[in-house]
Amino acid sequence: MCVEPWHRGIPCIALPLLVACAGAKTPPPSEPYQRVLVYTAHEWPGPSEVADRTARLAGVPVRDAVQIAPHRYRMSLLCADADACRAAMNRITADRTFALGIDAEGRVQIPAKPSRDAAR
Amino acid sequence: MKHPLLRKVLVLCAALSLPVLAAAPAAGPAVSAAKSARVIVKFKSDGPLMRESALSARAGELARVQHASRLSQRLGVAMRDGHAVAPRTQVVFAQGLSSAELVAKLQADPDVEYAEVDVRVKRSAAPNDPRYAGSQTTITPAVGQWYLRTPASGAVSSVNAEQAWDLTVGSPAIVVAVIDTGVRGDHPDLVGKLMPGYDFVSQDAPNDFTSANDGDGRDADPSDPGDWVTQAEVDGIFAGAGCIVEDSSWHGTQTASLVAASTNDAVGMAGTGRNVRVLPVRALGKCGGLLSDVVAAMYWAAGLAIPSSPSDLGTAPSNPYPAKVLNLSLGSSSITCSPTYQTAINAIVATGASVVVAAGNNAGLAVSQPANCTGVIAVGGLRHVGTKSGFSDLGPQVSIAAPAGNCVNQSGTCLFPILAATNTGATGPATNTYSDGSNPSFGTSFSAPLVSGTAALMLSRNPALTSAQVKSTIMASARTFPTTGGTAGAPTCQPPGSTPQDECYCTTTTCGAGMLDAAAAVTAAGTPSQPRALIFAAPAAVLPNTTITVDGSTSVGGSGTAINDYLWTLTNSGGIATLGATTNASTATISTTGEGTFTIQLRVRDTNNVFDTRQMTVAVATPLVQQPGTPTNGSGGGGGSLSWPWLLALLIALAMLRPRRAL
Repeated sequence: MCVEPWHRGIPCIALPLLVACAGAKTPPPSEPYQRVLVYTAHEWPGPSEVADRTARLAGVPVRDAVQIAPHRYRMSLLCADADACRAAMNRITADRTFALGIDAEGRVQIPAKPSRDAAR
Repeated sequence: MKHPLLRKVLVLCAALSLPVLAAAPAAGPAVSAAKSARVIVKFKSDGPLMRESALSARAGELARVQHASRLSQRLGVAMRDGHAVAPRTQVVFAQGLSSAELVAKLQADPDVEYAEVDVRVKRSAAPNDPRYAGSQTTITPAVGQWYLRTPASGAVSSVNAEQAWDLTVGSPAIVVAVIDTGVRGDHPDLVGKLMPGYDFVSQDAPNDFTSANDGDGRDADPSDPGDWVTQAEVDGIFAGAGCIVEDSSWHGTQTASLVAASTNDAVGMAGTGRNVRVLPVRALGKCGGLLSDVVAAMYWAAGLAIPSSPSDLGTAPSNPYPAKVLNLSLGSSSITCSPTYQTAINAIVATGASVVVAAGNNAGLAVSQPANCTGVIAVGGLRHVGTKSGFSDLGPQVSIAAPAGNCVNQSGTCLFPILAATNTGATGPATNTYSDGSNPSFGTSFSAPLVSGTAALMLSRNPALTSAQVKSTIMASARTFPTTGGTAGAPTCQPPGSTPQDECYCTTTTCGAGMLDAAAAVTAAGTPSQPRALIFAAPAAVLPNTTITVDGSTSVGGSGTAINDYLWTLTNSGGIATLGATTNASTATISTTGEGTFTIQLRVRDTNNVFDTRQMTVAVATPLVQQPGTPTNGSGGGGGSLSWPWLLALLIALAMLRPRRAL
């Protein structure tokens, strides 16, 4: 494909660019998910290993695992609803050799700007 | 002269006055003759002068303190008595020398405990910042920064900052952390007011920096790149997060300016804390941020250690400028305080720092976290007439109420917004400006920094205050909520429930202890019983091969006394710093020769002869040079990371553009 004449090379540039554009941001999980903070009992080689272990314990898929500090990993549990997420979190903390604790991570926001009516 | 006793007295007076007259300077030049001194002098309780006074005092009376003539004899300076100031303390007057010169002479007298200039205390004029004054003609709102001025019938809830500034204009050694969306440090009202902060917004997912919007995770750049949210983001990565499509808020810049905009500099607006400094700590981006980032930012701001983060998130160095006040104009929907928040707040409060939190804008429902956490100063919002703002949340957790901005009308120019520094950029930063009647700011987000600025003023006057004392003093000094003056039909506020509560008359169980009164709070803060050394370094970011000034002039004497002397010592030069020649003035200079750290120590002694010592470790570093291909933080919008497909495309494109040789 990448041969003369030069314009035949356009796809060589365009295709990777399209791929890059599409892949520049991680698509949101299509399933419901709960972002959690896992406090591990000991250090792990990396977040993917923690994610694997968490998924096995939780019984639900895990994605977006990142380490935010030693022994602390943030990830998303893909669970059907709030009850399923809670149960998955309980299963993770049941293994104290792996997790010392788990917190549901909420989103913090600046207070929404009030409406003009509320600011009368 | 027939009366022998009278003759003896006159002879004695003449004899006593001889040395004074002899020592009195001859008529000198006009400048010298115009000099006069007015000094407060306190005598030692066990010195001869006070012993004599005690002997001559009647039973039950305090010893009379009128010792000018005796001092005149001893010091060779003609003095006359002024009024008594306090036990063992009086004013003395003299001609032909300055007050400072007389203080120096008196301090050498063994009977004198201390002497200080009887300075003229003036009522501070209103700051000359053009947007401060009322009766604005070229900008809106016409009432300018109404919320800082002395309360009046037209603005009952104003916080009385002008009178607080009569007591202190704030110490630059007192730092207020603004944990928010980042701050535009290039705003004219914030230039020179920011300490080196940090950006704690980490990645949303591996290599996804959508929230951060600056192309990377945690780093040393706390500037605000904008937090606008697009429809694609609402539908995509932020689906279910409760975000809406909106322009950038410049929220952190607004709150920072309300804490400490440059004041009395004939530019823009005034800040509540005037000369105090802001530590910008970025924890929120697009669609807010994550609890873990906010809490990490809180720990760091207070100077507490946070676990070092791995390389993909950046590593925050220790904070050399711990904040005494943390402003959190943020929240989340939980009506209970999470253990993560409470643990952090407990640790921060234990350091002596105050955590000030906005009550929230959920139309009068119960306050949410972290305003409902124990130990914080939760701030509710007031209309200009002192009733609860319709949007402000309420409940027993609210500590104090402060103006939040309101428009009165429902269209047209907003009449009582909270004027603040902001930016015109709908997405990335554009032109620095101010909110006004056409682009109004209102919300409890802007009530909280009025309290944070007041707390910083209190701590400037009394750095020994604990977090609990700051909170209790603010609450105890609050003004009573009004019971009239609101919109017709406004009810009394009720305990929060499931029904929103619009404008209502506040009670102490719904909107806090009362309306913030900065002057009363600063007055009630008092002064420390022991002296407190305070150090401020300028500039805060120190480069190699520069000279910086360390300033201890805002150090505070114990029990209302003044600082008598200063002593600067370079306790650890780090091999890179040299202290200037003058080490006994309120300021000193330090020259740096390379990168590293040094530690400077200030010892102060107050006029009660009590000492305090404080050290400051200063990092000297060359700013990081932006590497090609890395994001340019703070210069605009974000952009994604340079992923492999981009690199591949770039390589292919370069290969195709390479000149080809003809075969």
